[in-house]
Amino acid sequence: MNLIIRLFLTSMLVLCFSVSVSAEFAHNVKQFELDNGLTILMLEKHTAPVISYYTFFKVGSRNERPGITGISHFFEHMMFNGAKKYGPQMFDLMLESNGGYSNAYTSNNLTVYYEDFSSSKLELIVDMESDRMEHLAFEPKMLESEMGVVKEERRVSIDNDNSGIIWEELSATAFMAHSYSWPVLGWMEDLNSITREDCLKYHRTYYAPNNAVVVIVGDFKADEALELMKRYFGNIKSGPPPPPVVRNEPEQRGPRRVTVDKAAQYAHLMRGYHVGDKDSQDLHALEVLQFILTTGESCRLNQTLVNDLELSLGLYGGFSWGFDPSLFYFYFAVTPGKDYHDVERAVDSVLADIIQNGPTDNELEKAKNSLTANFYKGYKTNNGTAHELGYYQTLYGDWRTMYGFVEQVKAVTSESVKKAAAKYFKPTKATTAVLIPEGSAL
Amino acid sequence: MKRLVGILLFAVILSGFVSAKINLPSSEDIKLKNGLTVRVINRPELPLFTIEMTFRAGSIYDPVGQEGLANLCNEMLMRGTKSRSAKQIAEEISFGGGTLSNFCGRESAGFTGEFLAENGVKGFQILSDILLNSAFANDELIKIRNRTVAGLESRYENPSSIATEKIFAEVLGNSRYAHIPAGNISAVSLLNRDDIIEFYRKTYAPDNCLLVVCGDIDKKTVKKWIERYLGDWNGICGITPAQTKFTPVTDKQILILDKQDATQTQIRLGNIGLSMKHPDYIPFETARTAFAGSFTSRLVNEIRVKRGLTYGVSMRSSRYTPGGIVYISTFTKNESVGEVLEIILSETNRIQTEAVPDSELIGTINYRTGLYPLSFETNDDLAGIYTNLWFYGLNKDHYEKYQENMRQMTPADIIQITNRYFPYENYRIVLVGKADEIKSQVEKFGPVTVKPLVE
Repeated sequence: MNLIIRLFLTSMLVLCFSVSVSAEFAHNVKQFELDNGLTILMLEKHTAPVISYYTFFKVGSRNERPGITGISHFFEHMMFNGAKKYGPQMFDLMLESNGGYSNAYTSNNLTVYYEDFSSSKLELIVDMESDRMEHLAFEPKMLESEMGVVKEERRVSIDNDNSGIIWEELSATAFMAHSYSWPVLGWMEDLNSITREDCLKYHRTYYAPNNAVVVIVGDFKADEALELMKRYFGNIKSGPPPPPVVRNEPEQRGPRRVTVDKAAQYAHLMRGYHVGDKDSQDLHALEVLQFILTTGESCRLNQTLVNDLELSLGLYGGFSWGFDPSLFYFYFAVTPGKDYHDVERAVDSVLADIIQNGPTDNELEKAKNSLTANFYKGYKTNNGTAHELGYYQTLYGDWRTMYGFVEQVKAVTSESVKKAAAKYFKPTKATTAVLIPEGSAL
Repeated sequence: MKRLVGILLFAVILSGFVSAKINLPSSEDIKLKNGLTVRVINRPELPLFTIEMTFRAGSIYDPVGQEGLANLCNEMLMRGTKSRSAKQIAEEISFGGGTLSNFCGRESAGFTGEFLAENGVKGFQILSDILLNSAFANDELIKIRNRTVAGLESRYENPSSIATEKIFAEVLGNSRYAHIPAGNISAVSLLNRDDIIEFYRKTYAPDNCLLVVCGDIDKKTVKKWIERYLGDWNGICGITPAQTKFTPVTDKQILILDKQDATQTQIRLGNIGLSMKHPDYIPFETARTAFAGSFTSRLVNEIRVKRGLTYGVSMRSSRYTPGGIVYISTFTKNESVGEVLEIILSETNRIQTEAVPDSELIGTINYRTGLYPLSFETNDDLAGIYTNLWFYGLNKDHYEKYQENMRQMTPADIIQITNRYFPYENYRIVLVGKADEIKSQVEKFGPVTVKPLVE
């Protein structure tokens, strides 16, 4: 009885919290679309004289083809290397010398840019962003030096990082045909062969206004900002719709395995299972499952593998909300001296248990409360708010989909978690990648 | 021509810049009879609050030969009380949508957490249980000690963190700041329950900490909970801060840690720096930013933008009570190591001898002062700032007049400050990479010692 009251009270608290935050957005987010198809979201917040400005392009490594892998990420770098009005280095120079900061990231689904700056500089940012959307320069000298930078990024995060290597091997083994098989950073040999012509074509196709979402959050007036957006972006021509990405991944016929021999202090193990895309009916059950299995000290895999059996030093896991069906993966750093086969056996037994028995009521409620609270904690800053709005708008075509997250996480049942686990975590559908330390007896 | 247009525009826009001024929100103190001070900052914007509880209990207080004790003690405080297991602690916090984690650095150790306002009492209950009733159970200790040793063995997987660890050891070699908080394998392996309890009694005392509570919670509520849950907490601090003085290295030495399979080398070059309280702190921060602290800074421009030799280069500054350490951190493919070091040193010499143009200095100052308000945005930010005020004995002007003080900087100040703090004549260099391929490139920068990566 005590437990039921406690569950109810806690749920109410988290719910009240989420309602109070959602209400602000429901009333205040303004949405516009320019004639050229550019979608703009604005949210005024006058608590501090600063603004966050995000641009989302609906392009990532999934849109690439063999031979030019890594071009989306390379583009992310080139966007800082000069356009027509603002030449090489001017974007950063103008921004930083006016008290602003920018950065960007590329995933297999999206390419995302942002700037944080003083509210008096909105026009400068809009001017610079429109300049690079319309007139990116691709100066040969900048292409060459930036490719050197990107190769160093690949060396530091994959070639000289065993956890990067094992992730690359897992993806390449789990996906036989789909573009999710290659790394966002691209294969080193492809980086060597990307040409200026490839870049120009890529820019025309994917960096058109109809393939982008702009989000502005902070201390500004929406009507004035809209005028600026019309003035600077209104004349940029829309592009043809980007070619669709083919969902060509065949059904997995049986378990797959890849091993890597490499100098290492311990074995690295990854396990992957194919799951659905962003519209999957199981998306929120999988979020709960991910939390129960891999998040926090008390999660099942940590308790079993790290705490009880001491087979692993640490672990993480999850899946991405993709335009196409993605991979639910687990990573384990195997304790030095322990046998990675034992890690695999322990993982199999944890998965078998949740498939057979589902989560406990307490686990389910804990996952729902934490996921809901974490979701809203993303809105603590202008930057976080702008990112979340843009993410939902770009992925789903409607930022209001974000409300669905809380509702649908609440609707997850013990049975739906159990079903999702059984549906996806089938031993016959597993892909396993192991990096074994060179010279190891295992 | 394009370049010229750019520069003209740049000058016009620069002149119109004024950054937002910082006023720290007010705080209220609660003092308990047992010596505990709680600082409350009420910010009701979101129904959340942050706690940050900081003790003078970092790894500088590790007795000689017991390196890793402070860290292990801090870990053990999360590993179960007389009535709750480690798992129960984690579950209860997580159940209400909250978080609570522990930390141990060189000077300080403690706990940080975030809670939903209406469920916040749970945070104080757990914190109280951890501080007053920790079990320090032997079976948990064995487990955590094994895990720490395994972590120490496995850390050689990460060349970047090893390079940073070693530059600290090379520069601060004679002080208790030289070792990493996790300690070393031989010392940690010998730590026992009595050692941990003794360290806990000396350091985790109400008069040796500050608890900052920041967010949607008022002083009255905090007072009620603190009195109820931490009112019976007793103990007296039994440590005295070591009278450490950081002394600069006075020659050039290069250490290569040989990693035979590396295709890229991690590079660190450093010497001692300065504390946050030092009067040169803001001038130094300005110079550091212009040199290697932003996308448009000199080293980024020369090494990354112009030559494509790295993905990242920066000048880092770690600040402690008696002083600090300053070092360049970067990486490049093995064949470019000599070239990158050459650029770092020639650019250091240039900034030490040639006046920085006004436009560059103004741009740097605008960058730092313009972004400054973003460091005061969240409850976590403010809890950290109030902790720093206490820990380092700073006054509010340090933050509130930061922008104003930075704007006073002149090109002549930059020359003076870079000569004082930027490593050029004397330094330590640490390289983690393939010795065969890099040794001959770097011998001109000082005597080289090669050691295997794994000790």
